[in-house]
Amino acid sequence: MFLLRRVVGDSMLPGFLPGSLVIAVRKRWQRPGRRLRIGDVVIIRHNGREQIKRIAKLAADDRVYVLGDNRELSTDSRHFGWLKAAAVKGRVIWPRERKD
Amino acid sequence: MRITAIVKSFIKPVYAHCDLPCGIYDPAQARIEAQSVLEIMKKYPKLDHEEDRWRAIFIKEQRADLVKQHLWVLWTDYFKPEHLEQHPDLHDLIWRATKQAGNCKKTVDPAEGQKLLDLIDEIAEVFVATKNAAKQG
Repeated sequence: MFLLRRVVGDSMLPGFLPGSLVIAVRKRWQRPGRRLRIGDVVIIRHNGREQIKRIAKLAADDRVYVLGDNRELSTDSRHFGWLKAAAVKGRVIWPRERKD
Repeated sequence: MRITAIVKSFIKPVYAHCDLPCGIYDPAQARIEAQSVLEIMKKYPKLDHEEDRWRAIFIKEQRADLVKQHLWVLWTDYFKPEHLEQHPDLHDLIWRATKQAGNCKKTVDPAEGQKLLDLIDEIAEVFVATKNAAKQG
């Protein structure tokens, strides 16, 4: 139901520090009606490994465009393009992000 | 190792990652090599010995090639489509600069070396603008 993961790398700074832990809820365990939204931090599987990114765009044909928060140090959809929504494994629910 | 670190090491990683090398890009690298090219051009007429002139040409050839390498790395690895949207002349600028590096191999005219430096400075301006945009964004 949940994924517990340890963050490696700087591409999600300042919100997610390297070495910090995150908990994500698996996609099929989302509460009913909770679809992916722009701004969600997600765990995706791409090129054989799990990565943490933020959804920047959603397409009607079930694809997502993801970016790292730390744009300069991130390899993301700017490089590998749109991903199928199936590449999204889960949505990060902890730590909760502060809404300024 | 602290207990927490040991426990953490068992938790599966999720990559907030970039391809290596991590963001270490700077047009200053190309500029330093271009400065060498220019200085060699200036010194060349003052060299008395044939061996020195020979070496000067050889080193100038190498340095001009390094300029191309550094600019290509910026072009293909650092600059992204969003930068090109903001600076539509970027492809042409890098094309002209790398061509100028090639021109500098064929001559010892310092004016050509200066042109190369000026083009690299133009690229550096675009580079700084993209860095500032990233900070504000």
